[in-house]
Amino acid sequence: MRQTISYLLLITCLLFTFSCTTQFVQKSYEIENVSVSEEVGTMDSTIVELYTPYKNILEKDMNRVLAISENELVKDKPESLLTNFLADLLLEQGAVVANSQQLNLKPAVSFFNYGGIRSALPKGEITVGNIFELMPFENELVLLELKGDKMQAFLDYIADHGGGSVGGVQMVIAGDKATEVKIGGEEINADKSYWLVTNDYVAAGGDGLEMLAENEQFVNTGEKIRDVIIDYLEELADNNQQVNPKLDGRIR
Amino acid sequence: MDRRRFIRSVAAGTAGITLGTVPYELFAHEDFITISILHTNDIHCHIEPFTGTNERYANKGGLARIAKLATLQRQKNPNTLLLDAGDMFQGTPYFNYFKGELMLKVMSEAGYDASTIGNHEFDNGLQGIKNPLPNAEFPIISSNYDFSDTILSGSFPEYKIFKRDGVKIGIYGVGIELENLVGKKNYGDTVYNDPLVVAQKMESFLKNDKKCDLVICLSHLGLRYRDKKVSDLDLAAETSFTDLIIGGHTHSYLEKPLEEKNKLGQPVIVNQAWWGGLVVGKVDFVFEKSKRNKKAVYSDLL
Repeated sequence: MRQTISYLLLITCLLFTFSCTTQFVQKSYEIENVSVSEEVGTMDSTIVELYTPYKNILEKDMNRVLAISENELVKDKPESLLTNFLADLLLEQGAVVANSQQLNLKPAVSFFNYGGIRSALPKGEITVGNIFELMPFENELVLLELKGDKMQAFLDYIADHGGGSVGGVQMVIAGDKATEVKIGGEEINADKSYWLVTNDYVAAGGDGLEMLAENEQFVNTGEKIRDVIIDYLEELADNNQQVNPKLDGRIR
Repeated sequence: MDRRRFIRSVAAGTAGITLGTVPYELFAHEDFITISILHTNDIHCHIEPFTGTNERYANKGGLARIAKLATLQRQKNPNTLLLDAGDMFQGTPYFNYFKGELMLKVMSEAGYDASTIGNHEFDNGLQGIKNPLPNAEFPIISSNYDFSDTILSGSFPEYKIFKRDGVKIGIYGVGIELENLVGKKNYGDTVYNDPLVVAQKMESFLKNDKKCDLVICLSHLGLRYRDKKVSDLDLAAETSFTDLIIGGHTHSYLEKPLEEKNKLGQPVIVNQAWWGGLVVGKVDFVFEKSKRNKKAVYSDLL
């Protein structure tokens, strides 16, 4: 009898030990991807309370007026007030950034990808919020050194796309080619190198701009394009100037 | 009816894989424990739903709504984990203005149990991660980035084990190669180690050494690539003990989670929940308390 009890005890102990190491067995699973829309539920009120003070600060700043524009700026091709404004601003700010980072170079050409210009700018007050709508992406300002033939290939791309946002250049579209190209007022030279200022998105060769990836040198300044635009507008206002770009026939 | 047989027959009745629409409460007997995983990725600071004027996602998504969903799910099943696969940062003015601070506060309030590091977490450099980090009341798990030589040394656990009603859930995290994706000045001396090698090491450690019942990988590698770049599907095929890979980076929209085969030919779930909080992935694992059956029962189900 005693022996039986001790055997039982031993077996119980063994079972106990065994069950401790193999407690759970996965039997099945159920999978689902739930779309998060109004129908699935309301917002969590604690979370809303948490972010509301931040939202108020944000909205106040989003409504901050940066500068005054004499006209509504809308994008169009081959050139437009908005595309010219942005390209000229980028050319100027590209030089400022290069100078402040002691890069010892000056961009000759600037380029904004047309698809990346997400809204128009209003006549009258331009706010921080307007710039966030115009440029919601976190793109950074980059500088690329291109050989003359690559620069020509790039401008051919612009011509093939019916124009766009370029600065520092005059050209005439002939079919799918850029002709009578002048950079900084001088005829383009295939043997010369030119610095192009643009954003990191196109510099990586996106949107069919592979020729930009074939550059001689590449500098990512780390400056956000949006910040560069905001800085430019603030400075304009500080100098009592208004936003007033012109159509100048740079692309015909 | 014998419960074990009941589950088997249900499983067989639904193509042998899912339990279909059978509510988990049916298994809420003491012998059965359901672990619910809710997961997100690439929220990119979309704390609020997209605005009503957004062309594609008007009034959809947002962490504020996900937090509510998570609360309701926890009421239904306390054994719920809310996980994220990285790129919490960058994407709305909330990030431009408040850096990571507000995002991590909101995620903490929403009750996130863990997250991992996405490439956009580096957008304000290592200091830009270090500054807001005290606001995260949840671990940010990273197994393949080595921060030893940086100011972030010791900030991120290699793995984390959660215990829910006795079930051990081991989680590790892998991040994408930083070179040519993140500016060198932003990641500094962070060392990227091969995610496949690290994943195999971590899953074996969690399964065999730590005896986890469930092994989950939080990945910011991306779902799949045309070139040789390592992806979640590569990870699924090359691992042996990982049950679920929660992915991110490629902003992949999946109608439902993918069921892949691992290195041993066993099922592994690979999922990704689009981006901006537009989707929440949900995976329920049903466990049976077992005293004899040592083998996993995938063979019964497939």
